[in-house]
Amino acid sequence: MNLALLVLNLVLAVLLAPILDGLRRKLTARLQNRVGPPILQTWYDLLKLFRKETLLPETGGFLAMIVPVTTFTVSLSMFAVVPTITVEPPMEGGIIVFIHLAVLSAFLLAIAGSVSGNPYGIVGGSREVILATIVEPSIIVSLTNLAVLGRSMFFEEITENIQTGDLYPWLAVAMIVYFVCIIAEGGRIPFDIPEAESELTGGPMVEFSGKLLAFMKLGELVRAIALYSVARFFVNAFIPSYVIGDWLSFAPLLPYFLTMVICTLVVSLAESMNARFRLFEATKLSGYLLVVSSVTLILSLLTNSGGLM
Amino acid sequence: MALPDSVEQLIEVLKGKALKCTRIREKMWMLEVKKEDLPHALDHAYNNLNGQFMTMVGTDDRSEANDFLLDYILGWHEKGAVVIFRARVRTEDGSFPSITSHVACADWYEREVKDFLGLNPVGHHRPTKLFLPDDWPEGSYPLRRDYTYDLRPPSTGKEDYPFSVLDKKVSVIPYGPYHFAMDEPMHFRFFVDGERIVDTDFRGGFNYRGVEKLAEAKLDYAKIPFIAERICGICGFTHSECFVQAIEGVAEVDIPERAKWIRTILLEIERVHSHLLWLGVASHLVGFDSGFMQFWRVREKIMLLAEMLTGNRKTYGMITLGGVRRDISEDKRKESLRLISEVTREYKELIESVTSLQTFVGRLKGVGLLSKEDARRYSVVGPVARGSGVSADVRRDYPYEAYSHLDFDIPVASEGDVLARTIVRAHEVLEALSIIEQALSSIPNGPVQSYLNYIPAEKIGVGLVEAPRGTDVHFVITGKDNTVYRWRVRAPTYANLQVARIMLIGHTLADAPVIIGSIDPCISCMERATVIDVNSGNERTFSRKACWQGEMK
Repeated sequence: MNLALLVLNLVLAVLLAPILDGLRRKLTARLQNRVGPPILQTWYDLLKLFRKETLLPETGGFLAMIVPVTTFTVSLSMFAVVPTITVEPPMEGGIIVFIHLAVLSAFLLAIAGSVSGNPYGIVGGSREVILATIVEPSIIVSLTNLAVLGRSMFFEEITENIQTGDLYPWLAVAMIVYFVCIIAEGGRIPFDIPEAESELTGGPMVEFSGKLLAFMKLGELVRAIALYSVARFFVNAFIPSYVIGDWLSFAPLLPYFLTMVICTLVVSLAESMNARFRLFEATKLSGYLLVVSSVTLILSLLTNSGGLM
Repeated sequence: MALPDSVEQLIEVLKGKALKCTRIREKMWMLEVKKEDLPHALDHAYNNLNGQFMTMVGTDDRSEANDFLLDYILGWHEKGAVVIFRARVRTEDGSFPSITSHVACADWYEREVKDFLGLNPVGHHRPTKLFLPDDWPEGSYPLRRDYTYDLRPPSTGKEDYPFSVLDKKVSVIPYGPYHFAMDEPMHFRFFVDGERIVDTDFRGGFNYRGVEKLAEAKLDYAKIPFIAERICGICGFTHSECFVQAIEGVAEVDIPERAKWIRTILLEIERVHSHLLWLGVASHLVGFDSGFMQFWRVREKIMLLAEMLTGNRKTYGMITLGGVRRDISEDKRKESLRLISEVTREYKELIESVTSLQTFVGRLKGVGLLSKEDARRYSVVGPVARGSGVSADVRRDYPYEAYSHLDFDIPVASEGDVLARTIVRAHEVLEALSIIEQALSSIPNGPVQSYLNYIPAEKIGVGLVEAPRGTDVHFVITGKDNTVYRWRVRAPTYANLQVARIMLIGHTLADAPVIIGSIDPCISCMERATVIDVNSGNERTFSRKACWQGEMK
C-alpha cells in the first residue's frame, strides 16, 4: 500500500465526485432544454449542508449518527481499491474486495433507512435491499468475466494481461451489462426506486439533514465514481491498452477522465429518456441482465481455456 | 325504469311525493319535498332515473322562515335539465336523513353541512369532520348567519381526528399533509401490506379559508367574480365564469355575442394550459423529468397568449357581470392565431414522442382502475369520468357561451386506468386548441359589455362550467342589496377525490402518486381557498403524534 498515493486518491475522490455530479446535472439540463445549474452546484450544496447543524429524529438514536459516516468511509474504501490515475491501485484487494464493499454500502443505505424510524425510510430501505439483491449478481458476473479474460482478480494484473491481446467480444457484452448496473447501483432514474423523490420523498435519506445528509450524499457520489472507475477496464475490448494510455502516449490520466465523463453522459442520457421503473420492472430487467452476463461468462470460460482455472 | 323521453315527462315522474313543483327557468325545476321523503326521492331520481349528482347545499334560512334549507341539485346530461330537490329542516329539529346509502357520493356534502351548519345527517356511516380543524369547538358553525365572518373561536386543544382502523395487521403510511408528490396539503393514510395498498383514509380541510362566508358577509356582485377566480390558481377563470353565469341566469340579461366568444376562448386557453401543466406533473410523478420540462416549455407559449389577451399570465381579471373587461384587437387576434398554430405543431410532436416512450406508458397502464359503474355511482366528472367511458361534458350537454356554435369532439376512453385519463386529456388539448382557433377565426364584431340594472332577490342561479378537471357547479341564492344570500362552490375535485380510495386499493405504493395525480386534484378549489385570510388562524396540521400513532407496529 502506497500511503501518498492513497491520500492522493481519496482527495481526488472527494473533489471529483461532486463535480461529476454537477456535470451530470448540467448534461441532463441541456438534454431537457434547460440552462441547468453551474457544474460546481453539487459542491455548493454539499458545503451548505456541511455548515448546518446536525438534527436527528427522536426515533433515530445513535446508529443514525454512525451510519452516514460509515457509508462515506465504505465508499472511499471502494474507491481506494480501484486504480485511478496510476496503473497500481492505492490499496490491495482487487475485484473481490470491491464487490464486497459495493454490497456493504447498499446494505448500509438500507440500514440508514431503517434506523431513521420513518415509514418512508423503512420502505425505501427495503426497496434498496431488493434492488441491491437483484442488481449485484449481474455486477459480480460481469466483473468475473473481466477476471476470467484478464486471468486475475487484481486490477493491475488484468490491465497487464488484457492490453496486448486480441479483441474480446464477450467483454463488450459484459461492459453493456455493467453500464446498466452503474445506473442501477448509482440510484439514478430509471432505477431510483429506493429514493424515488415523488413517491418516497428520498427514501432512506428522508430523515437526514445537515452534515449527516452531506456525508450520505457524498458517500453515494463517491460510490458512483468508484463504479465508473472500473468501467474503463472493459473498454480494452475495443481499444487495446486503453487503461494504461499507451494509445495516446499520455499517462492513464486522459483515459481515466474520459471514462468518467462518458459514464456521466450515459447516466444522464438514461435519466432524461426514461421514467422511473416500478420494482417488478426493475426485477425483470435485472433478470435479463443476469442471464445475458452469465451466458457471456460461460462463453468466455469456454473460449479462454487457459483462464482462471 | 326507462328514462322518460322528454324533460316534462321526467318532471312528471319525479313529482311523486313533492309538495310543490316550480319551474325556475328553462330546463330548471325545483321540487320541494318533505325531509323524510328525501332518501326515497333521491334514490329514485339518482338510481332509477340516472340523474347526475351535482351538488348539495345547506343554507341557514332561520331569519326568513325559522328553518334550514337543503338543496340537492341533480342533472340529466342527456336532456340538459337541472332539478333541485329542496327540503326544509326546522331549527328545533337540527337533523336530516342521510342519503348516502342510496347516493354514495353525498358523503362529503352531508359532512360539510354538518361542519358548517350543525345539522346532523342521521344514518351517515361516518360523520367525521371534513373541513373544520380538529380543534374546532363544538357548537360553532361558521355558515350560520349569527356567526360573524371574522370570528375566531378558541381552540379546544385536542387533535383527535378518528382515522379508520383496520382489523388486519397492516402498516400505516401517512401520506401528506405535505408531500413531494402533492403541491397542496391533503392527508392520505395508506394501510399497506408490503407495498400493496389494502385501504386508505383521507383527511382534508387544511386549505379551507371560508371564501363563501366572506362573499355572503362582505362582498357584492361586482366584487365576487374577482374573489371567485382566486379560488384556484389554475382554473380560476372557470370559477368566475361559473359564478357570473349563475347570476346572469337570474338577471336574465343578454350578453353581447362578442363577449361570449371571448369568454369561450379564455376558457379553452385555460384548459390547454391546465392540461399541459398536468401532463408535465404526471411525467414528473413517474420520474420522467424530461417530459415535465418539455410540456412546460410548450405551455409557456400559452401563458404568453394569456398575457397578451388579458394582461396576466393567468386568465385573471377579464370577466365581469354582463361581459368581459377587455376586447381582443385585430393585431392580437392575428398574433394569437399564429401562436396557436405554433403550439399545436409543437404539442403534436411532443405528445407523439412521449406516448411512444415505453417506460412512461408502462407506468400509467393498468393502474388506478375505476370501472364505469363506479364512475357513475360516484358521479365523477371531467377526464376521470371520460377515462372510464362515461361521456359527460357540460359544454355539450348544457351549452353555454359560444360552445353551441363551435365544432368539437368529446374524447372518451373506456379502460378506466391512468393511461386512459392521460389520453383523454392529451386529446382534449388538441380539441381545445382547435376550438380556440375556430373561435378566433370567426369571432363576431360588436360590443363586449352590457349592463345589468337589476338582480332580483331570493332567486336561485346555477352555473355549470366544464373546467379542465371536470364540471364546476356554482349555486347561488340571491339576496337583497346586491349581495349573495348563499353561494356554494362545488369544484370538480370535490366529486373526484371521493373515488381516490377505489382507485388506490390493490395498487402499490409506487403507483399512489400518479393515481392521486391522475385526478388532477386541486385542493384549493375543493376547499375554496382565497388570498384573504379569514379563518387561517385556526388552521391546524396534524400533530406529529397523530401522524405517527400506530405506524411502528
